[in-house]
Amino acid sequence: MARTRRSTAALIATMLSIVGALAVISPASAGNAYIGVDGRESRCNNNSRSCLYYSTLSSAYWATTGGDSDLGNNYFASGTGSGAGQRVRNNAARMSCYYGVAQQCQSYFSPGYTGSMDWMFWGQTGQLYYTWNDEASMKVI
Amino acid sequence: MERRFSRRRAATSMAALAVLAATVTGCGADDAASTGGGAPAATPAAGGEVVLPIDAYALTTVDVGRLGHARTLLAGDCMRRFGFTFDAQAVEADLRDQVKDVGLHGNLRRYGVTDDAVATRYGYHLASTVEAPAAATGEARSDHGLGQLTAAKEAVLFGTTADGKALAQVGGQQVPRGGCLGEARTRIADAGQLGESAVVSRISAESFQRSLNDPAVTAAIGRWSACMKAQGHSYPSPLEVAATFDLENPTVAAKEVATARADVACKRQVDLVTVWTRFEETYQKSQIEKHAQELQRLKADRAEQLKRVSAVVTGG
Repeated sequence: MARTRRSTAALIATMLSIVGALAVISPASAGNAYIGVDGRESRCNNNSRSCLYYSTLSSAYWATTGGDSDLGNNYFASGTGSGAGQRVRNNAARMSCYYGVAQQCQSYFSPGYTGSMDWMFWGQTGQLYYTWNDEASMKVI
Repeated sequence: MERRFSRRRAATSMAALAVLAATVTGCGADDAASTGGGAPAATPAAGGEVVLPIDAYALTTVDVGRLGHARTLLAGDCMRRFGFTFDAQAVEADLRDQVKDVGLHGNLRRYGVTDDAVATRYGYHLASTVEAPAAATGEARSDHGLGQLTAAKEAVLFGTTADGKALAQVGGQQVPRGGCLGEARTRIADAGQLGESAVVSRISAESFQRSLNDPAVTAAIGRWSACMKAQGHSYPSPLEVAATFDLENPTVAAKEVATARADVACKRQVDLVTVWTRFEETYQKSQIEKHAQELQRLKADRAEQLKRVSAVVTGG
């Protein structure tokens, strides 16, 4: 399937404007963006999980309860929508954080929970910023 | 049975966290609760913590935890008003883990592992993965006492029905705009955003990204790589090392510890952290000067939010 989102200037502009409005809390690191907006995605949250999504919240998702230090060997679940079967690493556009999570969900640029990071509180969803199509590990805390 | 959350217990726990943060960084409790004051020097502190100038304007890990804690408490108060169970106890334990994992300013892994004691004990693992593996994998995670997901609970929590329509009333009670999470957000930040604007994040990110192209930093990384190779570990950058180990397994392998200790020793030998932080400090100070007015306003907004957060957490 042709992937046009990487090169769509309008989408990037939209994303930057959204993040400009939403990126707030930043415990300093290589670069952290708070991307959370209150909300849920029921397919993922239904089983106490937090998810990364291939594109929109209705696209294919990869679900986790605690995260993974290397997303290179994980794939978007089959039969869950556009992008199913694709490798998760460097391929996710959005994240959702289950409302049973004690604190936050974090998406990191590098494996091993290092590098720039996008994060949200529980009960939120959001579009990745620093790690948009560039995420390598995810942590749920 | 509903677990009632104790504000007194929360206050005690948050005080303990302030002490923990002070222990980690050498800061006083007031500094730990809120990173005020002028731009501090880039100072490697105990356990590999690094403090950079922009950190004076950023929320600390403890600040973020307190903010999240207050949000959870307020949402819980609201949910109970509508007859649902809700607690926030898990937040406290997770915040302690978070400070240990990333440090008070979130910089603990900015340049990879930099402390020999940490390398010896954890290798490249997060401390929480080794010390509390069940929690780290989500197996022991709280559900905030909400129990089984139902449409009614979700509707009150988020203020919308399953099809996305705003929910006005439940059982004769008016549902807050944005649900209980919306009420929590408003009580902390009014109509504004939680915390501070993107400018702090942007300065921190740009500082780090530009440092990767600085000749002095890249030369120091080259010397670090040569030092590692001489000890039998071939890596182009300290940012690439962690990916080569299984960080999900709570057991830290001997090879990982040996690599991490060599990593720390080589960083010291070539003075990598000093060179790296020197670049970031210079860049950040110039940006802070450029955005001085905006950063001062953000600091004032942050102080007001944290004042409200303290009142919520301590039951004031």
